[in-house]
Amino acid sequence: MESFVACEGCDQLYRHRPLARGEKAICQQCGTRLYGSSIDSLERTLALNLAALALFFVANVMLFLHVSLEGHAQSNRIYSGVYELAAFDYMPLAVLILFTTMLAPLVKILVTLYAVSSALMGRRLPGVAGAMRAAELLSTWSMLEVYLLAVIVAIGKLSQMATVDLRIGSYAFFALILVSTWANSALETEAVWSRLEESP
Amino acid sequence: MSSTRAASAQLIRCTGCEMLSRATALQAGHVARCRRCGTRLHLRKPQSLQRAWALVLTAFVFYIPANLYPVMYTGELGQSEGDTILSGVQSMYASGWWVVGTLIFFASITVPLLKLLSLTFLLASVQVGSRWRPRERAVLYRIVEYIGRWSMLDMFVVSLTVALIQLGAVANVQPGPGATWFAGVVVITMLAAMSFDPRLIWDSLEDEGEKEKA
Repeated sequence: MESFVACEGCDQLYRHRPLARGEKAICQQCGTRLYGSSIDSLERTLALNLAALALFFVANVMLFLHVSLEGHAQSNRIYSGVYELAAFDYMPLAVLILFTTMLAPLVKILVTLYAVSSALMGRRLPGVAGAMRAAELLSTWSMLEVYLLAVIVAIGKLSQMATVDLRIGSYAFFALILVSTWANSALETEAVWSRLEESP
Repeated sequence: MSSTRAASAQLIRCTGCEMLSRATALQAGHVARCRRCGTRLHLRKPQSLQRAWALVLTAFVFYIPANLYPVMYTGELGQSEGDTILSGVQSMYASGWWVVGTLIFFASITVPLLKLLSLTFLLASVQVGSRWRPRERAVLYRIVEYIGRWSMLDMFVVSLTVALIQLGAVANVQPGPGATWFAGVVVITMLAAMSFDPRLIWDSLEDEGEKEKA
């Protein structure tokens, strides 16, 4: 029974067959992605999420943009928007933006690292199942790539009236989006669970 | 290719670890859990249609204040002016920012409305047990599921603009109540799309097939 998979989108049953690196299985009936290659999935996921974690800190700690207009100047970090919205008493919106652009991406990296490390060590650490489910749920709410487009639009709008310069934080942020997209495609649920299944 | 579905083979797919478990009759008060990861097993997402309908209708209600109230107030040297989503796009076009204006128009007006209409259509078609073009409906669902997050674009732009333009007396930007309503629309429609179970589209085909055989 372990050698069968069901499509998430239409419940069609398929026999599971191992894939070469870079291959993916697609449901014939509805076109939903079934699974990808498990080869080195855990190692790639670990490496890419560690890189993403480092970039996340650089992107959030360092200055992001510098704006100057008629002698006034200010520097901003990624979360400056959240801070200003909270200052204007727009708490629900501030919390939502904090969650989708900082908390969800960060917690997702951390729980993925936890689950993948557990599988690589061959030890079933407490809460691994919860960590895997949290990682999947958080990927829906992590909106870094949407935020990137918003940054580009905002710079475009502002550059008409003010001078906008990119700082280190924004370069780290661009790199973070590339690395985390890559990290997402590396993680195979089956690779984690088949390894945990064999372990105590 | 033998065309068998997990449910008709008495198999349940675990939402946590994707493993298949044999469906067995449960005693009252008991719940089935996945043997491998312990996640609670459901043949289909629980109360999928009821939840999705409730969320879609709520999103339609939120959509009205989201478009009527200003999402942002812009002020320069003492004057302040409110912009709704639509008037914001209009003023971008008026300033000649075609690319940005079209992007915001697409993300904030086209996508949320098409998404709500698509979900309504998918829900209605499953409700009446339609057998019409299941594959196209499956593709529509995947588009709706993928594209929903991009509607947050304008809210992120508002938050960034508010943060970037706090230059005291020279220029000042404040958020407006429309922004909160609009963010509500985006979140509630995303929840609606997550509640909908696309397997239901294919379930109605199976029911009909069984009726014909009988």
